Amino acid sequence: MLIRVHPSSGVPLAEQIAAQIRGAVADGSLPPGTRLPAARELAESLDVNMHTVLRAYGTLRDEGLLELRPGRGAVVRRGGAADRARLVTAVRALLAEARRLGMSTDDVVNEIRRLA
Amino acid sequence: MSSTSTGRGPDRDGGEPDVTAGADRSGSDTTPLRWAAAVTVAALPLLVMVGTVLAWRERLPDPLPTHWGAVGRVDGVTSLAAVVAALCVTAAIGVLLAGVAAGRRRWSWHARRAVAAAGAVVAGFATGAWLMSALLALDAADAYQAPAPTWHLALMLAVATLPAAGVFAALGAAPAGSPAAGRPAADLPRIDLAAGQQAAWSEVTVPNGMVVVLAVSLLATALLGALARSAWAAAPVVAVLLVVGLEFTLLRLTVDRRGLRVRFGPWGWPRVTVALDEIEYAEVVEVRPGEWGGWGYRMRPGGRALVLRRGPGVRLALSGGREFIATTRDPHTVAGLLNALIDRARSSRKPT
Repeated sequence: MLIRVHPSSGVPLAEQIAAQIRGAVADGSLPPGTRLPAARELAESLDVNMHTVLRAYGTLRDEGLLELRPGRGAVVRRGGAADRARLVTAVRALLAEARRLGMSTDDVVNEIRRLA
Repeated sequence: MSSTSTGRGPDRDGGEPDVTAGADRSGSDTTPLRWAAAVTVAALPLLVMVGTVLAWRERLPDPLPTHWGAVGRVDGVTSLAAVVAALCVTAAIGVLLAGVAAGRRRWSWHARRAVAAAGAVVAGFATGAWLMSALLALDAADAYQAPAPTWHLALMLAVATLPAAGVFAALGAAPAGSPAAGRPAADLPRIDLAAGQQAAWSEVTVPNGMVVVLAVSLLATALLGALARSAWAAAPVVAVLLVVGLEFTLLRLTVDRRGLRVRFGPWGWPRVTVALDEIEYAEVVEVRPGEWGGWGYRMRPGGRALVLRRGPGVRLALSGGREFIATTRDPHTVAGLLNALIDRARSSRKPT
């Protein structure tokens, strides 16, 4: 798993980290069951705050991609994590595009309902 | 490592003034102290043994119980003098080993630490065996009245291992090797790394079959212990096997701005670190376990290798002609990231 972060890219660091882990889950380079580095270790490696990594892990857990267990750290969830990661990536791309066009989340949801 | 490149070395600028020499020397000033502390720690068990021999002399039966059968009854005794002599000599050999390691400045630091720790284990084990026999026989009418060991086994294990842990603690982290000065050749792999960008790579390996190997060896040892009619004697061996086996059930390899790191075991300790500063360049190689005498963490003069499988790996050429090799599923990324990090570190460090 390779993670690159750019502090001055404008994208929050936690989002950069989450996006790259999501990508690795989606393309199978992080197979289900893989243990991610401890937040503190990854934070030291990337020279970022530990809470930044924890925020990234938390986002991915909320997306259903990671399991966070006290003592065992972050583990890629078993059962369709790659498919789920691709779906989340697509939804995030949709939301980013909508935001660029000035649409609210409700507008996007309505648009989806209209087309479905 | 006969197969890997020899003519690919970095282009060193001949007589680069060594600006870090002063810092290095002041850093190594603490080393003799650390080695003295390590030898002292290795000698502590012997002191404890001599002290307790003198203190308990009058309260111990002669002969002393030295062997317990499967049912926990004493079935072997040895004269007190013989026990003390044999164990003191053993412990002294351990201390001597640590002393030799401290004195051999030409050996690699890791080899010296390994020998010193082994000496501490030898000394600790002798003292642990002494303490167990003596504590059980203390104030007993004769050797055969001594009860069976219970918590004494834990004490023996602790006394056997704590001095080695103390040696590790006393010696601290490995001193940084002489810094590498070269730049990786242009044809070596690189990954893109923008200015200001931070990168980390990480991989977990769960060696196949390690759990099976562990279970089989534990079972074999337990069986052997039972057959030898002294099941407890097998306990330390089983414990050591278990710990060593567990260390190899999970390994994490990381690469970042500080270099490459291997973390052993589910608890991530011990760790082996190769500082970025020491690495001349990184390249992709095929690792053949046969060249390293098998699987595991292997050492030979000038080289270390983490061999977990046959196949792709990364070879780090280190300063002073040393090398470090690790098997990985993604050697191109590892080598590419390390070379990119080296490029960046050495270009920004260059004066003028």
